[in-house]
Amino acid sequence: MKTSFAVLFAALMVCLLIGVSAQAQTANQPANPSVPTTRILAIGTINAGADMAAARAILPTEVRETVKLYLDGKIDQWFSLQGRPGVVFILNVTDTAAAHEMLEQLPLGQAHLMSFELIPLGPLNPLRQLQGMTSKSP
Amino acid sequence: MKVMAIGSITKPLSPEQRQQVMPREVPATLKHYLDGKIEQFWFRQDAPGVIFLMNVESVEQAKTTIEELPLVTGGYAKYDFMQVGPLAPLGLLIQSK
Repeated sequence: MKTSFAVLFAALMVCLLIGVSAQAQTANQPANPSVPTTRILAIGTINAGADMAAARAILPTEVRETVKLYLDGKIDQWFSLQGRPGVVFILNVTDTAAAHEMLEQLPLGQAHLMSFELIPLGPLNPLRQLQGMTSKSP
Repeated sequence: MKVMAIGSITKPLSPEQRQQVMPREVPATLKHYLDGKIEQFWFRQDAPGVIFLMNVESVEQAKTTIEELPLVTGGYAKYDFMQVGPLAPLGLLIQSK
């Protein structure tokens, strides 16, 4: 009885030691660093079945409100889609919910004529892996 | 012309595959930036992938350039391409009455 207990105890200690050393190894390796969200890509398209005449009538107001967002520093870059109605904005906003709220307030959003797909963006993390980044030489 | 390339990972890479592919993918991508084909680049935060704003002669050239990259040739990623241009409706601000 005592011998088997000792064997069990030893086995348990070995398991614990392996567990602890494995944890120590992963603790010493830094977790994969990520990048912050710095911009949001907003792809705006006219909703299917939307009344194009209504959209055209709203457009002058839409333009004014969009320029106001730009002047407030919320829109960093803006483009028109080619080949179909729509826009692409790079927003100077980091919270997707806030970006959605903001764009829904635009006239075409309020009229339910335009919707935005939002993609949060950050710096290109893989640049960290470039050979020159891990070089030990000064 | 400007083309937005939206890349997403379709087949996740194992650590070994990542070791094989990424040391080629990142320098190849950076070369396109240095050549002026990729004007701006970002990392997606919603799903594994990247966004490139490209400066190219045609959407076909954008596709050819990107589809040569190792993640695409290896079957790990796919890209959607959208041609973009100046925000045309801004012209409404200067229409003569």
